[in-house]
Amino acid sequence: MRNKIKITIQPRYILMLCSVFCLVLIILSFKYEEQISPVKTAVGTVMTPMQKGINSVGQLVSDKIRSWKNMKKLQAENERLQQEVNELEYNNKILQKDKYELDNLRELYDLDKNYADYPKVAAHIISKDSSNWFDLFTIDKGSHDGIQKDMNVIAGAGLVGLVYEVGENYAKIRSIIDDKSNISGMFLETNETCIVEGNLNTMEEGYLPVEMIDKKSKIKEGYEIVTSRVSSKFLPGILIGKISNLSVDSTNMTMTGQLKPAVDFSSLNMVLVITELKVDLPDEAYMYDE
Amino acid sequence: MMSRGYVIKHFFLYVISIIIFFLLQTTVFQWISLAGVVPNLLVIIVVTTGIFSGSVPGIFCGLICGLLVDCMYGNVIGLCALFYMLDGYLAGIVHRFYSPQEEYAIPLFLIGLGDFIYNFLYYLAEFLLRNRQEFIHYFLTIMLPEMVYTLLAAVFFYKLLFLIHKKIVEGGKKKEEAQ
Repeated sequence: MRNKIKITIQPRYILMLCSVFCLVLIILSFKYEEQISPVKTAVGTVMTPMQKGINSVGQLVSDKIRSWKNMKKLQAENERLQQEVNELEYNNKILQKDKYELDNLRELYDLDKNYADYPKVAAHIISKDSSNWFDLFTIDKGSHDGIQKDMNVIAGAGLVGLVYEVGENYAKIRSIIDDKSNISGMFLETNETCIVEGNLNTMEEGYLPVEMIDKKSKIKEGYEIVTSRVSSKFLPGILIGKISNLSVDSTNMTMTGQLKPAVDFSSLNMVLVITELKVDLPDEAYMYDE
Repeated sequence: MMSRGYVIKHFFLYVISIIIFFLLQTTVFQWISLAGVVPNLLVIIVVTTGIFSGSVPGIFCGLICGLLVDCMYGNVIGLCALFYMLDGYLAGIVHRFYSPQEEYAIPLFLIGLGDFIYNFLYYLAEFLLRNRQEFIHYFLTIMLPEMVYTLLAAVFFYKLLFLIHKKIVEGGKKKEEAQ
């Protein structure tokens, strides 16, 4: 009955076969990036709800434990915060007065292009890249909520990154500290441009390298870098961070510096996606941008 | 000879473990990361598959894990699959002259080695090709901590997988005796 002819293939041939299969996939995904993305999206659509579920349960548990532990601390903090609220309320009144004045001035100068005015969607971060090499993460909003590829992502104080893939119920974001990220920036005070590079290596020490600063520029440490107008994907004027440690390059033509990001990436769990795209221009028009 | 039920049970064990490990790695372990790194749980399941069932299941387990990671997070599909596959194959070679027992030195060594091979190849493909040459730095800040953390996680997860494996094997033996 069981006298079927048994075909045994050496494992190493299977390894070779599968390796060839992988290599073909690699080449295919290089060449036909657009066509292959539905496959990725399909996997994402299945896995994301599960990740979201686990995350919400886990968040609940860890929140409970933490709130247990920190009851006393929280009470003290509450008191302190109450004081702060009072202070801030007072400051807010002053700021409101200033804002009123500022609005008038802006209207006057037709400079109403600050990023405070962009339409935004808030989203939770639900998972991070499984490897430790890159800084990619997934958020729980997707094309359903009007998110598209290349939209800018900000959090509180400044720029977080760029949407690089969108599914129906999720979107993936490449953060600015990611090793493959490359942003064209601009000094707020002098309008001079520079390149902010994502770098895993230097991010360990909490900064990103800034390159291509004109040697003759009059920038000083602590100047703020925002996204530049010549960037192809980033909307202009979003704060990236502050410059420090300026030094002249070995070429004696440009300066490099270190940028401390405005956003604290270690404790990020909510972001805002700006649902407005930079006007579409051909990629060839830009040299340095991602 | 291995009975059919034995193979099917192992198949389900591996598939379910892959999904659970993947979900754990991308969510739960992201909150309890140590020194900024997350353990590579998928290496554990790939190497374990190789040790328990041989090269061919190891290769396919690696392929599935890698494709899952590539589809969710990579921009090139097939790269991680290639590396995980290699891990599975290498672990499978050991399967030929080592049968898993209540002893963890060899499996843990293999898991550590698998993690190193995976990360080293990943460094070559994704970093060195872009001219990031500070290997020592990457080794100390990413590969080594990840390896240590993975081994810590493996002490628990490998034991769990081993106990299930033992149950399945004992169950299969009993059935054969009954026949």
